[in-house]
Amino acid sequence: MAVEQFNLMQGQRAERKLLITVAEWTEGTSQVREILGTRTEDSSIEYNADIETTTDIRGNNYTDMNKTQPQQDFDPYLILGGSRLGAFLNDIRRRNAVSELNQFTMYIITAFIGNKTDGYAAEKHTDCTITYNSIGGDVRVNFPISVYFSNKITTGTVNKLSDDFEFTPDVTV
Amino acid sequence: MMDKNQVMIQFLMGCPAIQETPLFFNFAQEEEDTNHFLTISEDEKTIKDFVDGSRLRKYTFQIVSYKSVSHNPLVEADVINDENLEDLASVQAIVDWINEQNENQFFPNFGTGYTIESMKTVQTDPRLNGVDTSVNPPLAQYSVAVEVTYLDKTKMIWSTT
Repeated sequence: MAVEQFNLMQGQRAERKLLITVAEWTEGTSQVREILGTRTEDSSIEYNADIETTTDIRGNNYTDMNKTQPQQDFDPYLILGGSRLGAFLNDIRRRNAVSELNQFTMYIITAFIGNKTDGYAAEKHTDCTITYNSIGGDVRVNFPISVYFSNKITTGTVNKLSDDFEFTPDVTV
Repeated sequence: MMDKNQVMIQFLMGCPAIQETPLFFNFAQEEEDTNHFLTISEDEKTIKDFVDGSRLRKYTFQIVSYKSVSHNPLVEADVINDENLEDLASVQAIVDWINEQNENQFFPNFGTGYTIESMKTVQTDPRLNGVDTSVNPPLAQYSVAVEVTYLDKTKMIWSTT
């Protein structure tokens, strides 16, 4: 399968808003989605790679990446009116029902690949965990969270940049 | 986005202290008991950019008030009933009204995609810029700077259903 090129002009830098993280979970019988990053100024997916390097007797290095444990922190993650994920996590926090934190499906949408017509490239991670790290702050209530991606990945595309997108897995030939 | 100057002027017309005296837009002519809404250079700036494409922005403007100045010294007054103090209090009423709206989270509407977070005067008291003694009666110029902080969501690419 050919590598898809970026939908950017030569030398154009991708705006941060083109890398989108979306959480999906079930409330009752309905599926809910929410984009993460509202009021967050800086957030990156950290791969926390397990690296092993050996050196042979000639002095050559051989490096292996054994695994990655992708994680993304959102700090601040403010308690905001209308945030369903915030309300959902706060409900878990109040009940200390921590086992309910690993039921998320996460989508990483790379909107700098693809277009409106063909869809945008995305990765779907099932069985992910979102943890709340603290609650409090100074003027506004901050409830920073961390997303732990499962690496159970399905690559595909989303048809639009909105909560009601449809995810279509890539067809492997 | 709606014309924020127009929106702000309409909003300020709800202030009793402004209703009592004429309000002019970008027309700072010295005239007793008048208020002037002045736009200032670099009135818009982005404070923060967020990862979802929204931006926190600040919009600033100034209200200038002209009040006549009394020559009566306070020490000679029988009671503390000084015209200058009264004039200052009438400008202070504008400051208090704006900050009261902020306390009550009662803000003007900048239109779809914009959410005002705060609207505050920069100082807690009106600033006396100076007194023009070349006119009769002499006029004191007071100013109040107002900062409106708002969230601009118009550059977001994600839409919420």
